[in-house]
Amino acid sequence: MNALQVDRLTRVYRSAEKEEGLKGTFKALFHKKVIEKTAVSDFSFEAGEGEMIGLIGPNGAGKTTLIKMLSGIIHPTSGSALVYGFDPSRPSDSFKKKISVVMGQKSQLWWDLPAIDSFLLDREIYELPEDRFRKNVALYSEMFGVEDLLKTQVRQLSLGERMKMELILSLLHDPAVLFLDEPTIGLDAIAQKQIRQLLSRINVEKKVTVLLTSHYMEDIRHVCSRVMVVNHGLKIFDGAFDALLDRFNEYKTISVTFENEAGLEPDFEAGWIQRDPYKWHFKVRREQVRPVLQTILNNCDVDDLKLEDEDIGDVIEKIYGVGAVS
Amino acid sequence: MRKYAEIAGITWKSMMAYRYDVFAGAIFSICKILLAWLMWRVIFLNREQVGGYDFASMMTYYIIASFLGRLDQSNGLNWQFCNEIRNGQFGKYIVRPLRPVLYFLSCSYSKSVYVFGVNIIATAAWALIFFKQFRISPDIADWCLAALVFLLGMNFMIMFNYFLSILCFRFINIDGLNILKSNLIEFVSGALVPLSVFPAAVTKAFSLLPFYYTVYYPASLLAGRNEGSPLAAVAAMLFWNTLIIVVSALYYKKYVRKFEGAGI
Repeated sequence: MNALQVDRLTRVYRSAEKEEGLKGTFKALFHKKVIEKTAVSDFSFEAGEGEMIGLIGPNGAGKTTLIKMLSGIIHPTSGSALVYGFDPSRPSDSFKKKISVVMGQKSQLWWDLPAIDSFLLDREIYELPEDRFRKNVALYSEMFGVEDLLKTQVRQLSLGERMKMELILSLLHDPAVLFLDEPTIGLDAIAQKQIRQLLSRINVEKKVTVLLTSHYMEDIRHVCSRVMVVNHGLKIFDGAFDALLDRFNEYKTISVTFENEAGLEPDFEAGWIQRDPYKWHFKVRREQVRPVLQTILNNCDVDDLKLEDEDIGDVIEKIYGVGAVS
Repeated sequence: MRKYAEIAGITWKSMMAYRYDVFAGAIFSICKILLAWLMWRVIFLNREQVGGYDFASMMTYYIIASFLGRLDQSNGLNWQFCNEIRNGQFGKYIVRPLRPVLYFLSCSYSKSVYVFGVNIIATAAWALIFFKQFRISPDIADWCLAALVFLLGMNFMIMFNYFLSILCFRFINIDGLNILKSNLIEFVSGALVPLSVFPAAVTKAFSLLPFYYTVYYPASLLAGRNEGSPLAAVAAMLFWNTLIIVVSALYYKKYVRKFEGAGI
Protein backbone atom coordinates (compact mmCIF):
# COMPACT_ATOMS: atom_id res chain seq x y z
CA MET A 1 0.00 0.00 0.00
CA ASN A 2 1.25 3.50 -0.80
CA ALA A 3 1.72 5.77 2.17
CA LEU A 4 0.29 8.67 0.20
CA GLN A 5 -1.89 8.46 -2.87
CA VAL A 6 -3.02 11.79 -4.23
CA ASP A 7 -5.20 12.10 -7.28
CA ARG A 8 -5.96 15.43 -8.96
CA LEU A 9 -6.25 17.24 -5.66
CA THR A 10 -7.53 20.79 -6.07
CA ARG A 11 -8.31 23.51 -3.58
CA VAL A 12 -9.93 26.79 -4.47
CA TYR A 13 -10.08 29.54 -1.84
CA ARG A 14 -12.84 32.13 -1.92
CA SER A 15 -12.02 35.44 -0.38
CA ALA A 16 -13.44 38.94 -0.27
CA GLU A 17 -11.65 41.63 -2.21
CA LYS A 18 -11.89 45.14 -0.87
CA GLU A 19 -11.06 48.33 -2.71
CA GLU A 20 -8.45 50.55 -1.15
CA GLY A 21 -9.17 53.32 1.33
CA LEU A 22 -12.06 54.23 3.61
CA LYS A 23 -14.49 54.48 0.70
CA GLY A 24 -13.63 50.94 -0.30
CA THR A 25 -14.19 49.77 3.28
CA PHE A 26 -17.70 51.28 3.39
CA LYS A 27 -18.49 49.91 -0.04
CA ALA A 28 -17.42 46.46 1.06
CA LEU A 29 -19.91 46.61 3.94
CA PHE A 30 -22.77 46.51 1.45
CA HIS A 31 -21.27 44.86 -1.58
CA LYS A 32 -18.67 42.18 -1.11
CA LYS A 33 -16.67 41.21 -4.15
CA VAL A 34 -15.71 37.57 -3.84
CA ILE A 35 -12.70 36.32 -5.75
CA GLU A 36 -11.54 32.75 -6.20
CA LYS A 37 -7.95 31.64 -6.07
CA THR A 38 -6.78 28.18 -6.95
CA ALA A 39 -4.13 27.32 -4.39
CA VAL A 40 -3.56 23.74 -5.52
CA SER A 41 -4.55 22.49 -8.93
CA ASP A 42 -4.90 18.89 -10.15
CA PHE A 43 -2.07 17.74 -7.93
CA SER A 44 -1.29 14.03 -8.17
CA PHE A 45 1.49 11.90 -6.76
CA GLU A 46 2.19 8.70 -4.90
CA ALA A 47 4.63 8.10 -2.10
CA GLY A 48 5.86 4.80 -0.74
CA GLU A 49 6.28 3.92 2.89
CA GLY A 50 9.32 5.60 4.39
CA GLU A 51 9.86 8.01 1.50
CA MET A 52 11.12 11.47 2.34
CA ILE A 53 9.73 14.05 -0.03
CA GLY A 54 10.68 17.69 -0.13
CA LEU A 55 8.09 20.16 -1.29
CA ILE A 56 9.58 23.38 -2.55
CA GLY A 57 8.13 26.43 -4.17
CA PRO A 58 7.88 30.18 -3.67
CA ASN A 59 5.58 31.71 -1.06
CA GLY A 60 1.94 31.18 -1.96
CA ALA A 61 2.76 28.29 -4.30
CA GLY A 62 0.35 25.92 -2.53
CA LYS A 63 2.73 23.83 -0.42
CA THR A 64 1.04 24.48 2.92
CA THR A 65 -2.41 24.07 1.40
CA LEU A 66 -1.38 20.64 0.15
CA ILE A 67 -0.17 19.65 3.62
CA LYS A 68 -3.38 21.00 5.19
CA MET A 69 -5.47 18.89 2.83
CA LEU A 70 -3.44 15.74 3.41
CA SER A 71 -3.64 16.15 7.18
CA GLY A 72 -7.41 16.78 7.15
CA ILE A 73 -7.20 20.39 8.38
CA ILE A 74 -8.99 21.63 5.28
CA HIS A 75 -11.11 19.91 2.67
CA PRO A 76 -10.23 19.72 -1.02
CA THR A 77 -12.50 21.38 -3.56
CA SER A 78 -12.08 18.35 -5.80
CA GLY A 79 -9.87 15.32 -6.24
CA SER A 80 -9.02 12.70 -3.68
CA ALA A 81 -6.26 11.65 -1.35
CA LEU A 82 -5.50 8.58 0.69
CA VAL A 83 -3.05 8.53 3.57
CA TYR A 84 -2.29 4.92 4.48
CA GLY A 85 -5.70 4.08 3.06
CA PHE A 86 -7.51 6.77 5.08
CA ASP A 87 -9.40 9.64 3.50
CA PRO A 88 -8.14 12.81 5.26
CA SER A 89 -11.37 14.67 4.53
CA ARG A 90 -13.18 12.16 6.75
CA PRO A 91 -10.67 12.08 9.56
CA SER A 92 -11.15 9.24 12.02
CA ASP A 93 -9.17 8.78 15.22
CA SER A 94 -7.30 5.90 13.57
CA PHE A 95 -6.19 8.26 10.80
CA LYS A 96 -5.18 10.95 13.27
CA LYS A 97 -3.02 8.46 15.16
CA LYS A 98 -1.19 7.66 11.91
CA ILE A 99 -0.16 11.22 11.18
CA SER A 100 1.55 14.16 12.77
CA VAL A 101 1.72 17.76 11.64
CA VAL A 102 4.28 20.38 12.58
CA MET A 103 3.76 23.91 11.39
CA GLY A 104 6.96 25.84 11.95
CA GLN A 105 5.18 29.06 12.79
CA LYS A 106 2.43 27.63 15.00
CA SER A 107 3.08 26.05 18.33
CA GLN A 108 1.15 23.09 19.66
CA LEU A 109 2.84 23.27 23.05
CA TRP A 110 1.24 24.86 26.10
CA TRP A 111 3.04 28.17 26.27
CA ASP A 112 2.94 28.69 30.02
CA LEU A 113 3.90 25.16 31.02
CA PRO A 114 7.00 23.00 30.68
CA ALA A 115 7.12 20.90 27.49
CA ILE A 116 6.83 17.70 29.51
CA ASP A 117 3.26 18.71 30.46
CA SER A 118 2.31 18.93 26.78
CA PHE A 119 3.95 15.53 26.26
CA LEU A 120 1.91 14.05 29.13
CA LEU A 121 -1.26 15.46 27.59
CA ASP A 122 -0.46 13.84 24.25
CA ARG A 123 0.23 10.56 26.05
CA GLU A 124 -3.43 10.55 27.04
CA ILE A 125 -4.76 11.97 23.78
CA TYR A 126 -2.99 9.27 21.78
CA GLU A 127 -3.55 6.62 24.47
CA LEU A 128 0.13 5.71 24.61
CA PRO A 129 1.28 2.96 26.96
CA GLU A 130 3.44 4.39 29.73
CA ASP A 131 6.61 2.47 28.78
CA ARG A 132 6.39 3.49 25.12
CA PHE A 133 5.82 7.10 26.12
CA ARG A 134 8.79 7.17 28.53
CA LYS A 135 11.00 5.42 25.97
CA ASN A 136 10.15 7.92 23.23
CA VAL A 137 10.57 10.95 25.48
CA ALA A 138 13.99 9.66 26.55
CA LEU A 139 14.98 8.75 22.97
CA TYR A 140 14.04 12.03 21.30
CA SER A 141 15.13 14.35 24.09
CA GLU A 142 18.52 12.62 24.05
CA MET A 143 18.71 12.86 20.25
CA PHE A 144 18.11 16.62 20.44
CA GLY A 145 20.09 17.18 23.61
CA VAL A 146 17.16 18.77 25.42
CA GLU A 147 16.87 16.40 28.42
CA ASP A 148 17.61 19.27 30.80
CA LEU A 149 14.95 21.51 29.29
CA LEU A 150 11.90 19.28 29.62
CA LYS A 151 10.84 20.99 32.84
CA THR A 152 11.45 24.55 31.62
CA GLN A 153 8.44 26.71 30.73
CA VAL A 154 7.99 26.70 26.95
CA ARG A 155 7.89 30.49 26.78
CA GLN A 156 11.37 30.58 28.29
CA LEU A 157 12.88 28.35 25.61
CA SER A 158 14.74 29.70 22.59
CA LEU A 159 13.14 29.33 19.17
CA GLY A 160 15.40 26.39 18.30
CA GLU A 161 14.70 24.63 21.61
CA ARG A 162 10.98 25.17 21.16
CA MET A 163 11.03 23.70 17.68
CA LYS A 164 12.87 20.65 18.97
CA MET A 165 10.14 20.23 21.59
CA GLU A 166 7.49 20.60 18.87
CA LEU A 167 9.16 17.84 16.89
CA ILE A 168 9.43 15.58 19.94
CA LEU A 169 5.72 16.18 20.64
CA SER A 170 4.88 15.26 17.06
CA LEU A 171 6.89 12.03 17.22
CA LEU A 172 5.78 10.66 20.60
CA HIS A 173 2.94 8.59 19.18
CA ASP A 174 5.15 7.05 16.46
CA PRO A 175 3.29 8.48 13.47
CA ALA A 176 3.59 6.70 10.14
CA VAL A 177 3.47 10.00 8.23
CA LEU A 178 5.01 13.26 9.30
CA PHE A 179 3.91 16.51 7.65
CA LEU A 180 6.43 19.25 8.28
CA ASP A 181 5.82 22.79 7.16
CA GLU A 182 8.92 24.94 7.50
CA PRO A 183 10.24 23.19 10.61
CA THR A 184 13.60 24.98 10.48
CA ILE A 185 12.30 28.49 9.87
CA GLY A 186 14.25 31.07 11.81
CA LEU A 187 16.62 28.54 13.37
CA ASP A 188 20.39 28.88 13.53
CA ALA A 189 22.62 26.60 11.44
CA ILE A 190 23.35 24.20 14.30
CA ALA A 191 19.69 23.71 15.20
CA GLN A 192 18.82 23.25 11.50
CA LYS A 193 21.49 20.60 11.20
CA GLN A 194 20.27 18.78 14.32
CA ILE A 195 16.72 18.72 12.99
CA ARG A 196 17.89 17.42 9.62
CA GLN A 197 19.89 14.69 11.35
CA LEU A 198 16.94 13.71 13.50
CA LEU A 199 14.62 13.50 10.51
CA SER A 200 17.06 11.31 8.62
CA ARG A 201 17.49 9.09 11.67
CA ILE A 202 13.78 8.57 12.35
CA ASN A 203 13.30 7.84 8.69
CA VAL A 204 15.93 5.10 8.81
CA GLU A 205 15.01 3.70 12.23
CA LYS A 206 11.22 4.02 12.16
CA LYS A 207 10.41 4.13 8.45
CA VAL A 208 8.41 7.31 8.88
CA THR A 209 7.15 8.82 5.64
CA VAL A 210 7.98 12.53 5.59
CA LEU A 211 6.53 15.34 3.52
CA LEU A 212 8.63 18.40 4.18
CA THR A 213 8.33 21.97 2.99
CA SER A 214 11.23 24.30 3.49
CA HIS A 215 12.74 27.39 1.97
CA TYR A 216 16.16 26.16 3.03
CA MET A 217 17.50 24.07 0.20
CA GLU A 218 19.99 22.46 2.55
CA ASP A 219 17.04 20.87 4.39
CA ILE A 220 15.76 19.35 1.20
CA ARG A 221 19.16 18.35 -0.13
CA HIS A 222 20.18 16.53 3.07
CA VAL A 223 16.88 15.02 4.09
CA CYS A 224 14.87 14.22 1.00
CA SER A 225 15.58 11.67 -1.66
CA ARG A 226 12.80 13.07 -3.78
CA VAL A 227 11.67 16.60 -4.42
CA MET A 228 8.48 18.11 -5.82
CA VAL A 229 8.52 21.67 -7.06
CA VAL A 230 5.24 23.56 -6.83
CA ASN A 231 4.39 26.86 -8.38
CA HIS A 232 0.99 28.52 -8.75
CA GLY A 233 -0.57 25.35 -7.33
CA LEU A 234 0.88 23.15 -10.06
CA LYS A 235 3.48 20.46 -9.74
CA ILE A 236 6.28 21.46 -12.08
CA PHE A 237 8.89 18.89 -11.12
CA ASP A 238 8.87 15.52 -9.37
CA GLY A 239 12.09 13.56 -9.07
CA ALA A 240 15.46 13.26 -7.38
CA PHE A 241 17.01 16.44 -6.03
CA ASP A 242 20.23 15.85 -7.96
CA ALA A 243 18.24 15.39 -11.17
CA LEU A 244 16.57 18.72 -10.51
CA LEU A 245 19.92 20.44 -10.06
CA ASP A 246 21.38 18.69 -13.09
CA ARG A 247 18.57 19.93 -15.23
CA PHE A 248 18.73 23.53 -14.11
CA ASN A 249 22.30 23.93 -12.97
CA GLU A 250 23.48 25.45 -16.24
CA TYR A 251 26.50 27.29 -14.90
CA LYS A 252 29.55 26.64 -12.79
CA THR A 253 31.46 29.23 -10.88
CA ILE A 254 35.22 29.32 -11.30
CA SER A 255 37.51 31.17 -8.94
CA VAL A 256 41.22 31.41 -9.87
CA THR A 257 44.08 33.22 -8.16
CA PHE A 258 47.36 33.75 -10.05
CA GLU A 259 51.01 33.71 -8.99
CA ASN A 260 51.75 36.54 -11.43
CA GLU A 261 49.49 38.93 -13.29
CA ALA A 262 47.22 37.05 -15.67
CA GLY A 263 48.50 38.03 -19.05
CA LEU A 264 45.70 36.29 -20.84
CA GLU A 265 42.84 38.14 -22.49
CA PRO A 266 39.89 35.78 -22.01
CA ASP A 267 38.22 34.83 -25.29
CA PHE A 268 35.35 32.90 -23.71
CA GLU A 269 31.90 34.06 -22.67
CA ALA A 270 31.78 34.59 -18.92
CA GLY A 271 29.63 36.24 -16.31
CA TRP A 272 32.19 38.18 -14.35
CA ILE A 273 31.86 38.50 -10.61
CA GLN A 274 35.41 39.76 -9.98
CA ARG A 275 38.22 40.42 -12.44
CA ASP A 276 41.56 41.60 -11.05
CA PRO A 277 45.07 41.02 -12.40
CA TYR A 278 45.62 38.40 -9.66
CA LYS A 279 42.13 36.99 -9.26
CA TRP A 280 39.30 35.95 -11.56
CA HIS A 281 35.87 34.93 -10.33
CA PHE A 282 33.29 34.18 -13.02
CA LYS A 283 30.44 31.98 -14.17
CA VAL A 284 30.57 29.90 -17.34
CA ARG A 285 28.17 27.47 -18.95
CA ARG A 286 28.79 23.88 -17.84
CA GLU A 287 29.88 22.70 -21.29
CA GLN A 288 32.50 25.46 -21.40
CA VAL A 289 34.18 24.50 -18.14
CA ARG A 290 36.72 22.07 -19.59
CA PRO A 291 38.04 24.31 -22.48
CA VAL A 292 38.09 27.38 -20.22
CA LEU A 293 40.11 25.59 -17.53
CA GLN A 294 42.50 24.22 -20.15
CA THR A 295 43.07 27.72 -21.54
CA ILE A 296 43.75 29.15 -18.12
CA LEU A 297 46.05 26.35 -16.99
CA ASN A 298 48.02 26.45 -20.26
CA ASN A 299 48.51 30.21 -20.30
CA CYS A 300 48.66 31.42 -16.69
CA ASP A 301 50.59 30.76 -13.45
CA VAL A 302 47.75 29.43 -11.38
CA ASP A 303 48.14 29.63 -7.60
CA ASP A 304 44.74 28.26 -6.60
CA LEU A 305 41.59 27.19 -8.37
CA LYS A 306 38.06 26.54 -7.17
CA LEU A 307 35.15 25.13 -9.13
CA GLU A 308 31.67 25.39 -7.65
CA ASP A 309 28.10 24.60 -8.61
CA GLU A 310 25.78 27.50 -9.17
CA ASP A 311 24.13 28.86 -6.05
CA ILE A 312 21.09 26.69 -5.28
CA GLY A 313 18.96 29.76 -4.72
CA ASP A 314 19.68 30.95 -8.27
CA VAL A 315 18.81 27.52 -9.62
CA ILE A 316 15.52 27.41 -7.77
CA GLU A 317 14.69 30.92 -8.95
CA LYS A 318 15.17 29.64 -12.48
CA ILE A 319 12.96 26.61 -11.83
CA TYR A 320 10.12 28.74 -10.44
CA GLY A 321 10.26 30.85 -13.54
CA VAL A 322 9.70 27.85 -15.78
CA GLY A 323 6.46 26.03 -16.55
CA ALA A 324 5.85 22.33 -16.12
CA VAL A 325 9.09 20.44 -16.65
CA SER A 326 8.28 16.95 -15.50
CA MET B 1 -12.32 9.84 28.79
CA ARG B 2 -8.87 9.97 30.40
CA LYS B 3 -7.69 12.37 27.72
CA TYR B 4 -10.33 14.91 28.74
CA ALA B 5 -9.42 14.49 32.41
CA GLU B 6 -5.82 15.24 31.40
CA ILE B 7 -7.00 18.32 29.46
CA ALA B 8 -8.81 19.49 32.61
CA GLY B 9 -5.63 18.83 34.56
CA ILE B 10 -3.36 20.76 32.20
CA THR B 11 -5.83 23.66 32.23
CA TRP B 12 -5.47 23.74 36.01
CA LYS B 13 -1.70 23.68 35.72
CA SER B 14 -1.87 26.53 33.22
CA MET B 15 -4.12 28.60 35.50
CA MET B 16 -1.85 28.00 38.44
CA ALA B 17 1.06 29.34 36.40
CA TYR B 18 -0.63 32.72 36.73
CA ARG B 19 -2.17 32.67 40.21
CA TYR B 20 -2.05 36.46 40.34
CA ASP B 21 -4.75 36.73 37.70
CA VAL B 22 -7.17 34.53 39.65
CA PHE B 23 -6.49 36.22 42.98
CA ALA B 24 -6.81 39.65 41.36
CA GLY B 25 -10.24 38.51 40.11
CA ALA B 26 -11.22 37.46 43.63
CA ILE B 27 -10.07 40.79 45.07
CA PHE B 28 -11.93 42.64 42.34
CA SER B 29 -15.08 40.71 43.24
CA ILE B 30 -14.68 41.92 46.84
CA CYS B 31 -14.54 45.52 45.61
CA LYS B 32 -17.57 44.89 43.41
CA ILE B 33 -19.60 43.60 46.35
CA LEU B 34 -18.46 46.56 48.47
CA LEU B 35 -19.62 48.99 45.79
CA ALA B 36 -22.92 47.10 45.46
CA TRP B 37 -23.35 47.33 49.25
CA LEU B 38 -22.85 51.11 49.08
CA MET B 39 -25.25 51.46 46.15
CA TRP B 40 -28.02 49.39 47.71
CA ARG B 41 -27.49 51.13 51.07
CA VAL B 42 -28.31 54.43 49.36
CA ILE B 43 -31.29 52.97 47.48
CA PHE B 44 -32.73 51.43 50.65
CA LEU B 45 -32.41 54.66 52.66
CA ASN B 46 -35.87 55.79 51.66
CA ARG B 47 -37.61 52.45 51.14
CA GLU B 48 -38.04 49.13 52.82
CA GLN B 49 -38.22 46.93 49.73
CA VAL B 50 -37.09 46.84 46.08
CA GLY B 51 -38.63 44.21 43.84
CA GLY B 52 -39.80 42.28 46.87
CA TYR B 53 -36.31 42.28 48.43
CA ASP B 54 -35.37 44.04 51.66
CA PHE B 55 -31.77 45.22 52.09
CA ALA B 56 -30.58 42.02 53.79
CA SER B 57 -32.05 39.67 51.19
CA MET B 58 -30.81 41.94 48.41
CA MET B 59 -27.22 41.70 49.72
CA THR B 60 -27.62 37.96 50.18
CA TYR B 61 -28.84 37.65 46.61
CA TYR B 62 -26.07 39.87 45.28
CA ILE B 63 -23.27 37.98 47.05
CA ILE B 64 -24.60 34.63 45.80
CA ALA B 65 -25.35 35.86 42.26
CA SER B 66 -21.96 37.48 42.01
CA PHE B 67 -20.32 34.22 43.09
CA LEU B 68 -22.34 32.05 40.70
CA GLY B 69 -21.82 34.49 37.82
CA ARG B 70 -18.05 34.15 38.12
CA LEU B 71 -18.03 30.37 38.00
CA ASP B 72 -18.76 30.08 34.29
CA GLN B 73 -15.41 30.70 32.57
CA SER B 74 -16.39 29.64 29.08
CA ASN B 75 -16.52 33.17 27.70
CA GLY B 76 -12.72 33.33 27.78
CA LEU B 77 -12.52 30.02 25.95
CA ASN B 78 -14.95 31.31 23.35
CA TRP B 79 -12.53 34.19 22.67
CA GLN B 80 -9.62 31.73 22.59
CA PHE B 81 -11.33 29.41 20.09
CA CYS B 82 -12.35 32.39 17.92
CA ASN B 83 -8.76 33.62 17.81
CA GLU B 84 -7.50 30.14 17.00
CA ILE B 85 -10.02 29.76 14.20
CA ARG B 86 -9.11 33.19 12.84
CA ASN B 87 -5.34 32.68 12.92
CA GLY B 88 -5.45 29.07 11.74
CA GLN B 89 -4.28 27.48 14.96
CA PHE B 90 -7.53 25.57 15.39
CA GLY B 91 -5.96 22.93 13.14
CA LYS B 92 -4.24 21.48 16.23
CA TYR B 93 -7.62 20.18 17.43
CA ILE B 94 -8.50 18.78 14.02
CA VAL B 95 -5.33 16.74 13.56
CA ARG B 96 -5.45 15.18 17.03
CA PRO B 97 -7.75 12.34 18.07
CA LEU B 98 -10.03 14.46 20.24
CA ARG B 99 -13.40 16.22 20.00
CA PRO B 100 -13.17 20.02 20.13
CA VAL B 101 -16.51 20.21 22.01
CA LEU B 102 -15.25 17.90 24.76
CA TYR B 103 -11.99 19.81 24.87
CA PHE B 104 -14.00 23.02 25.35
CA LEU B 105 -16.13 21.44 28.08
CA SER B 106 -13.10 19.98 29.88
CA CYS B 107 -11.25 23.29 29.93
CA SER B 108 -14.37 25.20 31.01
CA TYR B 109 -15.26 22.90 33.89
CA SER B 110 -11.65 22.78 35.00
CA LYS B 111 -11.52 26.57 35.14
CA SER B 112 -14.84 26.69 36.97
CA VAL B 113 -13.61 24.33 39.67
CA TYR B 114 -10.47 26.41 40.11
CA VAL B 115 -12.39 29.68 40.30
CA PHE B 116 -14.85 28.05 42.71
CA GLY B 117 -11.99 27.14 45.04
CA VAL B 118 -10.53 30.63 45.01
CA ASN B 119 -13.78 32.60 45.17
CA ILE B 120 -15.54 30.53 47.80
CA ILE B 121 -13.13 32.04 50.31
CA ALA B 122 -13.98 35.61 49.28
CA THR B 123 -17.69 34.80 49.25
CA ALA B 124 -17.53 33.14 52.67
CA ALA B 125 -15.72 36.20 54.00
CA TRP B 126 -18.52 38.44 52.76
CA ALA B 127 -21.14 36.11 54.19
CA LEU B 128 -19.43 36.46 57.56
CA ILE B 129 -19.19 40.24 57.28
CA PHE B 130 -22.88 40.42 56.46
CA PHE B 131 -23.60 37.65 58.94
CA LYS B 132 -26.56 39.43 60.48
CA GLN B 133 -27.99 40.32 57.10
CA PHE B 134 -27.03 37.15 55.24
CA ARG B 135 -30.27 35.23 54.91
CA ILE B 136 -29.48 32.04 53.10
CA SER B 137 -32.09 29.30 52.80
CA PRO B 138 -31.78 26.71 55.60
CA ASP B 139 -33.62 24.10 53.49
CA ILE B 140 -31.21 21.48 52.13
CA ALA B 141 -33.70 20.71 49.33
CA ASP B 142 -33.32 24.31 48.09
CA TRP B 143 -29.54 23.88 48.06
CA CYS B 144 -29.72 20.66 46.09
CA LEU B 145 -32.19 22.06 43.61
CA ALA B 146 -30.18 25.28 43.23
CA ALA B 147 -27.05 23.23 42.57
CA LEU B 148 -28.80 21.10 39.97
CA VAL B 149 -30.34 24.04 38.11
CA PHE B 150 -27.08 25.98 38.31
CA LEU B 151 -25.05 23.08 36.89
CA LEU B 152 -27.51 22.67 34.04
CA GLY B 153 -27.39 26.41 33.51
CA MET B 154 -23.62 26.50 33.49
CA ASN B 155 -23.47 23.59 31.06
CA PHE B 156 -25.85 25.51 28.81
CA MET B 157 -23.64 28.60 29.00
CA ILE B 158 -20.52 26.58 28.15
CA MET B 159 -22.27 25.03 25.16
CA PHE B 160 -23.68 28.42 24.17
CA ASN B 161 -20.19 29.94 24.16
CA TYR B 162 -18.90 26.93 22.22
CA PHE B 163 -21.67 27.46 19.67
CA LEU B 164 -20.69 31.13 19.31
CA SER B 165 -17.07 30.17 18.72
CA ILE B 166 -18.21 27.82 15.94
CA LEU B 167 -19.76 30.83 14.21
CA CYS B 168 -16.21 32.10 13.70
CA PHE B 169 -15.74 29.46 11.02
CA ARG B 170 -18.44 31.27 9.07
CA PHE B 171 -18.09 34.91 10.12
CA ILE B 172 -14.38 34.93 11.07
CA ASN B 173 -14.73 37.81 13.51
CA ILE B 174 -17.53 37.89 16.08
CA ASP B 175 -15.86 40.13 18.68
CA GLY B 176 -18.73 42.64 18.55
CA LEU B 177 -21.30 39.90 19.05
CA ASN B 178 -19.31 38.49 21.96
CA ILE B 179 -19.11 41.84 23.75
CA LEU B 180 -22.83 42.46 23.23
CA LYS B 181 -23.63 38.93 24.42
CA SER B 182 -21.58 39.29 27.60
CA ASN B 183 -23.28 42.55 28.55
CA LEU B 184 -26.78 41.32 27.71
CA ILE B 185 -26.38 38.02 29.51
CA GLU B 186 -25.04 39.69 32.64
CA PHE B 187 -28.27 41.71 32.61
CA VAL B 188 -30.85 39.04 31.67
CA SER B 189 -29.32 36.36 33.87
CA GLY B 190 -29.83 38.47 36.98
CA ALA B 191 -26.10 38.73 37.75
CA LEU B 192 -26.41 42.51 38.10
CA VAL B 193 -29.79 42.92 39.82
CA PRO B 194 -32.55 40.45 40.72
CA LEU B 195 -34.91 40.14 37.78
CA SER B 196 -37.88 40.66 40.09
CA VAL B 197 -37.08 44.39 40.24
CA PHE B 198 -38.46 44.62 36.69
CA PRO B 199 -42.18 44.72 35.90
CA ALA B 200 -43.83 41.29 36.14
CA ALA B 201 -44.29 41.03 32.36
CA VAL B 202 -40.58 41.63 31.76
CA THR B 203 -39.58 39.06 34.39
CA LYS B 204 -42.03 36.62 32.83
CA ALA B 205 -40.46 37.23 29.41
CA PHE B 206 -36.96 36.70 30.86
CA SER B 207 -38.11 33.41 32.37
CA LEU B 208 -38.65 32.10 28.84
CA LEU B 209 -34.92 32.47 28.20
CA PRO B 210 -32.39 29.93 29.42
CA PHE B 211 -30.27 32.66 31.03
CA TYR B 212 -32.98 33.12 33.70
CA TYR B 213 -31.90 29.78 35.16
CA THR B 214 -28.15 30.32 35.00
CA VAL B 215 -27.90 32.79 37.89
CA TYR B 216 -31.23 34.33 38.92
CA TYR B 217 -33.16 31.16 39.65
CA PRO B 218 -30.52 29.33 41.70
CA ALA B 219 -29.41 32.52 43.50
CA SER B 220 -33.04 33.27 44.42
CA LEU B 221 -33.50 29.73 45.72
CA LEU B 222 -30.40 30.01 47.90
CA ALA B 223 -31.60 33.40 49.11
CA GLY B 224 -34.77 31.64 50.24
CA ARG B 225 -37.08 32.76 47.45
CA ASN B 226 -38.83 30.45 45.09
CA GLU B 227 -39.13 31.94 41.60
CA GLY B 228 -41.01 29.13 39.89
CA SER B 229 -41.68 25.42 39.84
CA PRO B 230 -38.45 23.42 40.41
CA LEU B 231 -39.62 20.72 38.02
CA ALA B 232 -40.30 23.32 35.31
CA ALA B 233 -36.85 24.84 35.89
CA VAL B 234 -35.08 21.49 35.49
CA ALA B 235 -37.22 20.57 32.47
CA ALA B 236 -36.53 23.95 30.84
CA MET B 237 -32.78 23.58 31.28
CA LEU B 238 -32.81 20.00 30.01
CA PHE B 239 -34.62 21.26 26.92
CA TRP B 240 -32.21 24.17 26.36
CA ASN B 241 -29.19 21.92 26.90
CA THR B 242 -30.44 19.36 24.42
CA LEU B 243 -31.17 22.07 21.89
CA ILE B 244 -27.78 23.75 22.15
CA ILE B 245 -25.92 20.43 22.01
CA VAL B 246 -27.77 19.35 18.86
CA VAL B 247 -27.47 22.77 17.19
CA SER B 248 -23.74 23.01 18.03
CA ALA B 249 -23.07 19.55 16.61
CA LEU B 250 -24.93 20.34 13.40
CA TYR B 251 -23.27 23.70 12.91
CA TYR B 252 -19.81 22.37 13.72
CA LYS B 253 -20.20 19.72 11.05
CA LYS B 254 -21.41 22.31 8.57
CA TYR B 255 -19.02 25.14 9.34
CA VAL B 256 -15.77 23.28 10.02
CA ARG B 257 -15.59 22.71 6.27
CA LYS B 258 -15.19 26.45 5.87
CA PHE B 259 -12.02 26.42 7.96
CA GLU B 260 -9.10 27.53 5.84
CA GLY B 261 -6.36 27.32 8.42
CA ALA B 262 -5.26 30.79 7.40
CA GLY B 263 -1.95 32.05 8.59
CA ILE B 264 -0.17 28.72 8.72
